[in-house]
Amino acid sequence: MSEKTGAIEVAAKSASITEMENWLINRVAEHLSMDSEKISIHEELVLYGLDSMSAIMISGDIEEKLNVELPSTTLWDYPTIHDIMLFLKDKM
Amino acid sequence: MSVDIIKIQRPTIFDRLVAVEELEEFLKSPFDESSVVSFKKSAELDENEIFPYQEIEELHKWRYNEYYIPKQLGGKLKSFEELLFLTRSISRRDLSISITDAHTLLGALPVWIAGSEEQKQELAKEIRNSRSACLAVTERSHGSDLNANGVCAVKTDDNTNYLLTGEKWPINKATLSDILCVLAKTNDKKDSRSLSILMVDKEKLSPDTYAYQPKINTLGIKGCDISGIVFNKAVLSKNMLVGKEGAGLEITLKGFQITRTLCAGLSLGAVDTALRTTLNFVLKRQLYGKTVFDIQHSRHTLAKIFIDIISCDCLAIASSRGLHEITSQFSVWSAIVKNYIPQKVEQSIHELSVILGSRFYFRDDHDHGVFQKMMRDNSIISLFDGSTIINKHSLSLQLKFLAKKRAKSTGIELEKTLENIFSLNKEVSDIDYNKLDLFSKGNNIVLQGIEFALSKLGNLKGKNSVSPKTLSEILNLTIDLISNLMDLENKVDKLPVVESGHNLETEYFDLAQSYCKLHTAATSVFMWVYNQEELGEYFSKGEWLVLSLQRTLDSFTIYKKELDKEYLENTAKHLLTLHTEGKLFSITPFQLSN
Repeated sequence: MSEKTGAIEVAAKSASITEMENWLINRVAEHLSMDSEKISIHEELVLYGLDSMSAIMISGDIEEKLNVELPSTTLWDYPTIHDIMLFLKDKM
Repeated sequence: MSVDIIKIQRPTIFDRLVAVEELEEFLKSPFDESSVVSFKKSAELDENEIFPYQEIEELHKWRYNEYYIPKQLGGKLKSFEELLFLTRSISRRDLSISITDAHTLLGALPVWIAGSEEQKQELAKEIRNSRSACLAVTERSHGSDLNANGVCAVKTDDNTNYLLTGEKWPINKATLSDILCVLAKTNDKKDSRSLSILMVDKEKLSPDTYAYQPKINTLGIKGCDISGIVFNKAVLSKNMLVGKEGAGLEITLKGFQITRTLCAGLSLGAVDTALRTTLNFVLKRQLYGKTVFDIQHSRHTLAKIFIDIISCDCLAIASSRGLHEITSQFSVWSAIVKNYIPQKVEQSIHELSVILGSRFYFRDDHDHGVFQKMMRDNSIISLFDGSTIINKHSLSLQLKFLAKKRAKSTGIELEKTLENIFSLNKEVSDIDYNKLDLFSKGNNIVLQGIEFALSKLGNLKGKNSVSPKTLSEILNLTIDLISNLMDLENKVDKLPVVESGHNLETEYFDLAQSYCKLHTAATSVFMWVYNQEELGEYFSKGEWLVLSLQRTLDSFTIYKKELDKEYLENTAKHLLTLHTEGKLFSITPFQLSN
C-alpha cells in the first residue's frame, strides 16, 4: 500500500467513524424521543432514561448497520456513546 | 405406510420419556383418595391453607428433585421435553405442589447458567438432599422494574464478604426454602450492570440477620408459602457471588427464558384436569333424556377446547425441545409461550366452566371441587416469571428485527434444525446454557422456515393416511398463514420507532399478539409434517390440524372459517377415547394412572 493510499484509507475510516457516531446519536435520540443535539457522547445513556431492553435493541441496530456480530449486552457494558464508539472502532 | 400400521405402532416418545408413565404409576390416580396426591387431600389442604409437605416428601422419595439437577452434575435433568411432561403430570393433580416444588429449579438456574463449578456441585448436592431453593427477585415497590431494586449487597472493607440488606417480597418459598438466589444491587447506579446474583444458604446465616414477612393470603395456590424475607447486613462470603458482579440482570432474564417455557407444563396440567372433570360430568349428567355429551353443541364445544389444548401442546413440546436446539432464539420463543399458553388455557377453562354449569362453582361435591381449585390456582401462571404483558412487550421490541431477518431467509438451510426440533423420534441435543441470549437477532426458525413447510406438505400428496381434501385444506391454511405473516411484517415496517421505556404504541402489542398466533399455528404445521405417520391415526389424518389452524388463525383473513362438523365429530370421538382409556390430552397421549 502506498503512503497516499494509506492516508486516503485512514481519512475514509475517520469519516465513516464520524458518520457512525452521528448515526448512533440519532438512533439513541429516536429511542429517547429527544433532540439529538442534547445528547452528549460522554454522558451515560441510562441517565437519559434508556432502559435495558432498548439498549439491547440499539445493539441490534448497530449489528445491522455494520453487518457485524455483537454481544446483545454491548450497551450495558459500554454505557456512553464515546465508549461504544471506542469498542466499535476495530470492527469498522 | 398403511393406516393399519399407523394404528398399532407405539410412538417412540413413550419409550424415550419412560419416566412420565413411571411417575404416573407411582402417584396413582388423583381421583383415588388413597393416592400420593389425591384431589380430596389437595382440596383439604387448600381449604385450610396448609403447605403440601407430605406430598412433596413423597415426590422426593421418587427422586423427583433430581430432575432439577443437570445430568452432567449427576442429576436426572437430561431434557426440558421430559421435564415438561413430568410437570404436566404433577400439575394435573395439584398446581400448589408443582408451582412450589418447581421453584427449586428457578432458584437453581442462575447457578446452572453462570455459577462456578464449586457452586454447581454444592447446589446439586443440596437439592439431591431434598433441600429446596427459590429465586428472590421481586420487591414490594418495584414489581417488574428490576433495575429499580433496593436490596443491596455491599462489599466489606477487607473485600472478603458481602453484607446483604433489604426486603424481597412477595417470593414463592421465601420462608420455607433453604437456599435463595437473591438479585441485589452491587453498586449505586441504576443501570443494567448494577445487579448481581448471590446464593444465600440460610443455614450459614446468623439468625439475627434475617427475618420473614408473613405468608400472604392468596386467591389460589392457598397452601403455598408466598411470603417475604428481610435481610439486615447478612454476611455472605464473596464466593457466593454467582457469575460476575453486575451480571445479575442478564442471568435472571436468561433463567426466565427456561422457566417461562416450562410454565406451559403448569397450564397444560391444569387444563387437562379441568377438561377431564368436565367430561366426567357431561358423560353422566342426564338432560332431556340424554347425556350432556350427547348434545351436539356441548360435544362440539368440548372438541374445540380439545383442539385449542392440542395447539398449545404442539407449541409447548416444540419449545421444550427448541430450548436444546435453538437456545439463542428463546428471548422470542419463551415470550411467545408465556404470552400465549396461559392465556389460552385461562380461556379454555372459562369455556369449560360454562359447560360444567353450577358444578364449576362448588368447592366440594363433583370430584372434590377440583375444577374451581384448578381455575383459581391456574390464574397465577400468567402472572409470574414475567406477566403476559411483560412478555408481549419483550416480543414487541423484537418484531422489526424478526420481520427483516425473515425476509432474507429461504428456509431450506434450516431443514436439519427444524427436523431436530420437531421430529419426536429424535432425542434432543444437550443444552448449552452459554447459548442463551437476551436478543434473538431477528431469528425465529419456525416462521423463517414456514415456506419450507409447504414443500413438505406437497410431499404428502398421494399418501393413504391423509385424504386429498384434508391435505388441500392444510395447504390452503398454511398459505393463508404465510400471507398473514407477510401482511403483519408490512405493518411492523410502518410502525413508529420504539421508544425507550414502557410507552410502546398499542399497535406493537396487538401485532405481538398476532405474531404469537402465527408462530403457534406454524408449530402445529411442522409438528404434523415431521410426525405425520408416527403418532397414531387421529394425528395422522390431519383433521385436527385443519381445525387447529382455523381456530388459531380465527382473527385473521383465512379462506375458510367454518369448522367442518365431521372433523369436530371425529375429534369428539378421539377425545372420548382418550378420556375412557385414561390418557393425557396431548398429541403424545401418555398413559395416566386410573
